[in-house]
Formats: sequence, structure tokens, C-alpha cells
Amino acid sequence: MGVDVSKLVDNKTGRQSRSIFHEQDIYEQEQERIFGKCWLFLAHESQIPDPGDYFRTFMGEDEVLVIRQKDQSIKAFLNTCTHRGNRVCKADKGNAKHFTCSYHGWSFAADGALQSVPLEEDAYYNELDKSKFGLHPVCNVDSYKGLIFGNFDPEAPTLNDYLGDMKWYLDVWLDAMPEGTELIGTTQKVEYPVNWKLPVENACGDGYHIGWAHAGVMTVASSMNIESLSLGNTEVDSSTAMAGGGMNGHSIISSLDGQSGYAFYPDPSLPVSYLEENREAVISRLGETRGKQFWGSQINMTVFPNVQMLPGLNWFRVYHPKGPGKMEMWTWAMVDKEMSDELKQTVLDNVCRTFGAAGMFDNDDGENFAACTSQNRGLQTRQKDVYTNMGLGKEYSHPEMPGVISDGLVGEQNQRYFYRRWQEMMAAKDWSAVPNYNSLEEANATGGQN
Amino acid sequence: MSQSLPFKNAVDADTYQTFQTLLYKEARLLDHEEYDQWLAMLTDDIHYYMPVPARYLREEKKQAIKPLDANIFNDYKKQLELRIARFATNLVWSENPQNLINHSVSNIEVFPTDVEGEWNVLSVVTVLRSRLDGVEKRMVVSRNDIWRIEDNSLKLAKRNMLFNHAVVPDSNLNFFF
Ligand code: FES
Ligand SMILES: [Fe+2]
Repeated sequence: MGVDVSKLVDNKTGRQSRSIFHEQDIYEQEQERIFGKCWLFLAHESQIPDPGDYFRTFMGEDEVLVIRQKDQSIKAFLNTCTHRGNRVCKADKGNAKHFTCSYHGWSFAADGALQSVPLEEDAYYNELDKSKFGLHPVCNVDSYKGLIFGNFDPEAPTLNDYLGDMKWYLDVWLDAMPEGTELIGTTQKVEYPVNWKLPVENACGDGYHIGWAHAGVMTVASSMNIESLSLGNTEVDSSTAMAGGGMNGHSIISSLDGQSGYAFYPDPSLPVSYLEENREAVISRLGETRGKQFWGSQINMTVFPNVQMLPGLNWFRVYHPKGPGKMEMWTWAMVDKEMSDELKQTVLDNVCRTFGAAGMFDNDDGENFAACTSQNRGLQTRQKDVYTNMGLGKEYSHPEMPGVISDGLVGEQNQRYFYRRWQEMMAAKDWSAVPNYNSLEEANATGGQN
Repeated sequence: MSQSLPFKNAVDADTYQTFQTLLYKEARLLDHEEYDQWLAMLTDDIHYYMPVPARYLREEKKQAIKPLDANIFNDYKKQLELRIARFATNLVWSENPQNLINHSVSNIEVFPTDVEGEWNVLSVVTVLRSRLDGVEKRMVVSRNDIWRIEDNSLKLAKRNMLFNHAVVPDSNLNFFF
């Protein structure tokens, strides 16, 4: 059964009930129906290149260990000992031949098999069937162009189908250069008193807040004028900037000028010359539209439910829920492997200065998200609704760009599709009840519950 | 009756006290957001650096130090000035009303260096920040400084910091350590 979510989101009017940011039972249902069923980002292949390399992360509230195998394949396991439940790995990342539990010393191999048990003969009389006590695997693990995802649901669509038409956009970053991408730097972790959906809806489509919430830093740190941000919505068309939603909850907003991704570098000359040196090659890989208009632009991409990447600003981020009113934000810099070390360092420093723990942009957002969460503790307050109703009905189809398209970076279309997907996942007991749509026609045909 | 103690101070009491007073003064300027006066205490080639902490197994210490690593601060004077210029716009909404903040400096040790007129100063700063509605955040940072005599005053030339929290506990770090 579960919580009835049919009245909590109305995609036609862009309304959401505030309870979705507050109620514990809704949060528990998210763990089951969203984090228990969707493909979730685990790690980038570049973070665990060699056999025995591991990375410790979360899928929803479940802690998992992602391990590179001897045959270069990747497996993931719940980070919990099958004896009494202790954690088997405490480090953030590293390389190990086996993982030994600190409680009674059970030791697991990189493939999850229980390898050795102290006092196996003397205390267990050699009667413990070790083959039944391997680490619990995450049943589906797959990669898309360097990004490793895991899924707890054996009935889930393949990763390829899950990403669907969003791959056309993801490739603007993941497949622009022949060597692909890598994540660099220690994981930057920040704890926020914030519901996990708020930063996702923000970066999935909210170009609206940039001019106001970030007014201080925009005044001092912009080195280029991003037309599509300063113009009002009615003055922009899809040749300046676009929003792409639908796509089973994945989304993109993008400028279409091919270089504004580097507008928030005090000196963008190094990255911009990298763009122009490689532009022709990228056009031949991705075609005119993606090579000229997207590659290098200010872009926000979201993979439902909790991964966001901003090429140009070059951050890659995942949000781990820690209860309805708390989440942990993990950020890295993502770069093309072909970039020079000097450019990688420039990019990394800029990621940290703009969207790191002391990042001048990020440090504007946290307080807003926190209050959008905490105000709903009030019983009267949380019986009111909130809205993402900007530009309702202005969606259209584009001959080349997949998904549901709107004009401009300033809009709320993608937020509506994010909450529509949230509602669809929350309503479905299994994947057979989840609608499948990429384009506007498909999105309209599959409705969207009210 | 004075007895000489079997421990030798690296610097004389005067020098030690000078740096102690200097660090207290710096803490007071940061508490009161007197950023122009704080900038004047920095050399032009100041490097203000705080890497992102990570937890590795002890035997994998090498993992922890990489040429390309994420940081909370990796600033030279230009970047510090940029951050301060942002505060000065008065458009940083999260700092209005002003957050109450206190920098407590402790564990001060002062050592001479091989360079004439330069000292290595270690300290710990505990920041207590009182946010909206009484929410309090406490952060502890170890600092390893180089102070140098320049223009007849002592100036901070280098500050390497260790942020003693695996997860940053506040939603913004709109201040300095
Ligand atoms: S809980 Fe892990 S060995 Fe007992
Ligand atoms: Fe923002």
C-alpha cells in the first residue's frame, strides 16, 4: 500500500505539498520506491582503476562498498558483516585484498566471498557453511561511459534503458573526448539540514535563482556575460538557451553559446583555448549541434534521482539522504582525461572556489534550502503548498534535441518533471507500474497523475 | 631561587608573547569582520591553504597526498580579496543578519626558521558560530603558519590548515580560519 501520493504533486499546476519535504513515512517510502528501485551513482571508473581498489559510498541510507575485481569488472556489496552486522570497511577508499571485520575478525574477499573465520574449527566445529555467508551483493551494477551505477531491484530496466534519451545529452561531457572523463580530488562532503530533493530541483532547472540568490558572487566573479541568464524568459529563444525535461525524470538546462560554462572563471583563457583547440574534433564526434552549441556551454544535467553534473563549472555531485531533514552532499571535479595537468588544476581549484565547501556560489544556496526544509516543521505551515508553475504550457518538441523542451535557463519545467517522476516512482509498487516517456508526445500520452 | 628547567623554549619569552598577541589580534579582526585590516596583515604572496580531509587506512597514507587534490581553500591574495569583495557587496543574504562568530586561538608554538626574519607558528583555532535561531556550529582547525617581517611589521605569508572534520558541518563557510 504505502502513502497515497496522488494529491501530493500536481504536474498540471506545478504544485507540491510541503509534506514531501517533511514526513517521515514519505521519506521511508522514498527509500523503498526511489532509492530501492532507481539506478544510483556509485563511483567513477577512474576512482577505482586497479583490482582491489574500493570506494565506500551510499545508495539511499544503505552503505555500500564498490570494488574493482581481478577481471576488471565491478561489484558492489552492502557494507555490513554477515555475522553480526558490523561495517566491514571504514576507509573512504583504498586498495585491499580482503576486508576484515573489526568485531570478530571474519574476512571477506574482494568478490564478497567469506574467506576466513577465526576459530572456525575450535568454536564452529567446522560446521559453518562459509559459502552462505558472503557479503550481500547489489544485484545490478553497470557502467555508462565511466559512470558506475548500482540498482537494488532485479526487475529494474537496464541502465541503458533507464538513461534513455538523456544519453544524447550526457555524451556532451562523457563522450566529447576519446579518452573520456575522470573524477579528481578527495570527496568534498558537506552536511546540510536539507531535504535531498531541494538541491536536486534547484540544479535541475532553476536558472531563476542565480541572478538573485548569487547576486553577491555574480557581481564580483563573472568574467563573461551570460546572455541567457540576464534576459527575461520572453526574450530568449532556443538558440540562446534551453531546458530539456521529460526523459523519465532526467533533465538538462543549457546555454547554447559553446563557451559560457567557463564564465565563472576569473580568467577563462586556459579552458576556452582548450575548447577551441578541440572544437573541430568534438564536432566530428558529436555533430554540429552538440559540438558547437552544447560543448563548452553552461550546462546542468541531472540523472534522476540524485546525480548532477555541470560541465564547464565541472562539478559532479551526488546527494545522499540522511532523513527527511538532512542530507550529505558529495562533490568532485570532473575533467576530460586529455586535459593538461595545469588545466586540471585550474578546473579543480575553480570547482572548489565556486561549489566547494567554502565555494562562493554554494555558500549562497545552503541557507535557502535549509529554510525551505525547516519551515515545514510548523503544522500550519506545512499544510500550505509550494509551486513550480513558471512557464506552464510553454513546452514543445524540438526536431533534434530529445525530451520536452522549453526556452531559456530561467524556468520551472524541469522541476515539474522531476516531481512528476518522483510521484510516479512513489506510486508504483514495482517497475511494471512505472510509465516510460522521453518526448513531449510520450509524456502527454502517459499522463502524469494528479 | 630560580631553577633552570630541563626544557628549552625555541624562542625567547618576548618573541613568543608577540606572536600570541598577534594571533589574538587577528582572531579579533576576523570576529568583527574587519577584513581590510586583516588583509593588511598578509604578505602579497600569501598562500592560504586547507585541503579536504579524507579517511584512509593508516597503511595507505600515500593515498592521502596527491598532486591534484580538492581543497576548501587554496587562495592567494587575489582570491582572498575576491571573497572579501563578495561580502562587501552586501548581497550575501546568508550573512544578514550578521552571524555571531568567535575565533579562539590555542596551542600556540613558535619556532625560528632557517630564514632570517621568518617564524613558523603553530596554533589551533576553534570557531564557534551562532547561526539563526540559536543553531551553533563548532569547527576546529589546526594551523601551520609562516610569519615574516615586512615593511617593519609581522605579516602572514603562509597558512596551511587541517580541517578536523571529515564532513563539513555547516551550510556555508563565509568566514576565514
Ligand atoms: S560482526 Fe563481523 S565478525 Fe562478527
Ligand atoms: Fe545556486
